[in-house]
Amino acid sequence: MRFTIGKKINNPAPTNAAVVVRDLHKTYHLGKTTLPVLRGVSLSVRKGQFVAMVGASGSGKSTLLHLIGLLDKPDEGEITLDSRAAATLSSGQRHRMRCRDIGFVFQFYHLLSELNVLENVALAAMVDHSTLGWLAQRGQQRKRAATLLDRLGLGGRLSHKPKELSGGERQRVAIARALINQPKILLADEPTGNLDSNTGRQILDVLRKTNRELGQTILMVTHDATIAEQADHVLHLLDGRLVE
Amino acid sequence: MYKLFLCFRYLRRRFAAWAAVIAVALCVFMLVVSISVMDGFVSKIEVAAKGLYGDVVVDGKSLDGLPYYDELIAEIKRQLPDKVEDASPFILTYGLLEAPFFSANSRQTVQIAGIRLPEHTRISAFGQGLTYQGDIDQPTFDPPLEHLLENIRRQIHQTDRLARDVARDKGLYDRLENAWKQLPPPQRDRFEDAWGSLSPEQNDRLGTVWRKQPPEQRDRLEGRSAIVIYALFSYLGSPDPNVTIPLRNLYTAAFQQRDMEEILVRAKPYQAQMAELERQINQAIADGTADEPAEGDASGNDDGLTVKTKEDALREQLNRLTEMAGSDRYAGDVSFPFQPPGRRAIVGLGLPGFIFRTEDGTVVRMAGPGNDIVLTLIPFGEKSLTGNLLVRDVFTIIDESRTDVSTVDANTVYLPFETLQKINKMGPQIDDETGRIARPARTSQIHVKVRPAFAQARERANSRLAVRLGMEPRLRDALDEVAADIQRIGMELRNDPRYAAGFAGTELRASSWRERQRFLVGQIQSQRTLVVIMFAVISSVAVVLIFVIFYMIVLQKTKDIGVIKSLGGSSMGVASIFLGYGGATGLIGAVLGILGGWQFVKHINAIHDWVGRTYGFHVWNREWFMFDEIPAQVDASSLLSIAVGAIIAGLLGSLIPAIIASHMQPVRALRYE
Ligand SMILES: Nc1ncnc2c1ncn2[C@@H]1O[C@H](COP(=O)(O)OP(=O)(O)O)[C@@H](O)[C@H]1O
Ligand SMILES: [Mg+2]
Repeated sequence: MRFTIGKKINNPAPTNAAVVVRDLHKTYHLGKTTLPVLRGVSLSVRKGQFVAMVGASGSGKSTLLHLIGLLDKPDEGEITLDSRAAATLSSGQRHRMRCRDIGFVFQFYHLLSELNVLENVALAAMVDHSTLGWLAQRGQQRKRAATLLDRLGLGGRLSHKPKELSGGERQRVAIARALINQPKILLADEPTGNLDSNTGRQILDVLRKTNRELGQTILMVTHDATIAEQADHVLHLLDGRLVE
Repeated sequence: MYKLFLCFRYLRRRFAAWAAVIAVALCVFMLVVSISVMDGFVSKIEVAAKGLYGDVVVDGKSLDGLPYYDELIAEIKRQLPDKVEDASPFILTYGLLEAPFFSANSRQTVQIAGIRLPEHTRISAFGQGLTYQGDIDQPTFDPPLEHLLENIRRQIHQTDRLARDVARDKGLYDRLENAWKQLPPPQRDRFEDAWGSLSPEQNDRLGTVWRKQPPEQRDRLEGRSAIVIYALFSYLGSPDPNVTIPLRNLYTAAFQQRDMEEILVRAKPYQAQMAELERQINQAIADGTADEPAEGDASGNDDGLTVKTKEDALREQLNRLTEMAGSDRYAGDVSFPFQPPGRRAIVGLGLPGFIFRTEDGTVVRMAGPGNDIVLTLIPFGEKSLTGNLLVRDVFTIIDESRTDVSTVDANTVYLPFETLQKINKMGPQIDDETGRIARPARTSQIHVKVRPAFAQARERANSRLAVRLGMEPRLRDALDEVAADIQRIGMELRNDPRYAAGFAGTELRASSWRERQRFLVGQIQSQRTLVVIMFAVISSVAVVLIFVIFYMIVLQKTKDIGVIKSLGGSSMGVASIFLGYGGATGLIGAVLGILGGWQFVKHINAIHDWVGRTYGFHVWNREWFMFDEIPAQVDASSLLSIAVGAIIAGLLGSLIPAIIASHMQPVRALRYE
């Protein structure tokens, strides 16, 4: 490790950065063959910035996003989220951070089919609460979820099941779920990849709006160049490295 | 919170989970029912085992018996007024039972109990198990006949109730007609006379009983109605043997043997004589001497009205023998239907051939009050059993006893204590020379009833928490303590110079009935344990089923698990969702199973009867068991442990799937649709 914790905390520059990634390496092993996916990726996302990441399919975009989202661990390199080095976190702290500080939006929505729209969103808030804590704040939390869904244009669909919604609507529910805990950073993995271009644009508008109005930091993966253009900054992933 | 929430949501929405719940519920149901029925058995057996014994039993450890029992009883009651309610002597021996009234060659070994009535009913549940005297306080061997009659009427009433949809009288009268036609002409004549002499009321009653027999149950009820009708005649009827005997023969023929020839067959002891008579008759006819006046038959000549031929005389003799063979009395003892009070017997409800139960639970009585039985026994009280000691005596049945232990009920005849004592040579023996008592009267056992208040106080004291936790010493069991007290009192008496001689060579032992019957009760108890273990093992199938179902659900829910982890759920959290899910499956299964099992047990007999009626399928054969119904007893602590077991099974079954779920890599699940 090239940076000590003390050094990082004393360094004033990263305090302005939501995500700092240094020299990240990730290799998958499939039996005897090894597949180096990330080979020294470094990047920095400032707070409030809307960053898009493009790259060919299989170039490692999802892998990178999962690493930043603490869903997986890198082989080498350092991830710093909101001035905290991921490597130093206990597993409890990682869970808490994943819950409170990171919001995830996936290409395939990944909503829980047993739950209705409101419950899918509230579930994310529930994870952060004990049973008693939740029961105490239940009404308030549900109201928050409802308000958020209303803002995303789903006010009338609260009790619908995911399978009763269109793709764009499902993705908006997923975005609401990612935002309910007011995360410091929203990670979106091809949120429009499964949608037609019109709907895709609507989703993008939603994201831009959250970025603009709430100052939400967003790191979005896409392979659609026109969508990437809308971002403040575009990163290109090629052969496991970022190119400008 | 999400754990609970998802756990219940999955439970509500996953069809497969309900399969697991149903599996658990069925296993719980099975356990509840089997444990309840087995518990019912155990307690029934316990109650019944005690029905024959008192709480504490004192005996002399040998067939010789125990002397000075009345003195000992008096001393026990004097010294232990707070602990002992009552005590009574009891003799148990074995003998041969014959029932000449329905079969000349029925013979079975039975145990013969000598009891003092009504004393004996105060020390056991014996009184409540009596068919005809169960409703009175002081049953005896000599109950008022009106009371018996009342009870027999009630039985007729029950027969009437059974006899719904009467097929009028056709079938019965046909059978009667057949029997009638097969009667030898002289008997027919005599019967006709007897019939004619019945009062209209008697006639009516007879007709009613007959007419009420439904055809489909007739075969089964024949025995009973014959007995009922016979009993009616015994009590209401003519004291004239010329009436009762042919009637009885007719009923027997019509209802039991179905063939008049059978009367002759039954007359086995007389068969040789009858054959000889018949031969003589035929010979007389062939010789042409039939018209000659019979020798030595004075009556025919005396009245001067008829001159009896030799053939007539022979025929009459034949008839008399036939009657005697068909009669339940020995010659010369036909004037009164009951033997004197000392020669009465109470028979066990279930003596083979006497009283039995049909498949549908109907009690068929081939014998009842008024019928005579013959008992043959060896007097075990005799010092040396040499020479021809067999005692053979006739007793009139006065009641039936039911203790609910089939081995007891199918095997026991009860006689008055003093009678059996005498027969068994246990009565006092007087020295011929001195005129003093050489050997005091003896009993085989003394049965003692412990005061319920004392026993309950003991039990309460011992069930206190402090005792259970071992902080205070356990008090001695009430029965064991009384047994020890009696042992002490007995030894004092035995060492008393006044009684020492009579006790010479006799031991004395007092112990509780539980101790005596521990093999009987213990056997059923271990059977219960075995059945419970067996069903518990079978129920472990539910664990496997839960495992398979949950494993399936976990595989289906891979994506959800990834999402939960991406939302910040920990591995433990994910595991606890599925564990909670499994536990809830167990809990809900337990609740459903217990409710179902409880209801089933509550209505088990109605259900059984319904299945039997509808499909003709009987699990519980009432011919085998002398229980009225399937016993069942629901015990709260068993239910609790079953419920806990079900929840543990749910947790156990879901444990491995939960671990698998917790180890799932979220990234892999989330990468694809
Ligand atoms: N768990 C895994 N094991 C082995 N190879 C993997 C695994 N996950 C991803 N890969 C491979 O890593 C490469 C990068 O995948 P990914 O990050 O999903 O690319 P992208 O999102 O840019 O399409 C792909 O070639 C993929 O097949
Ligand atoms: Mg991808």
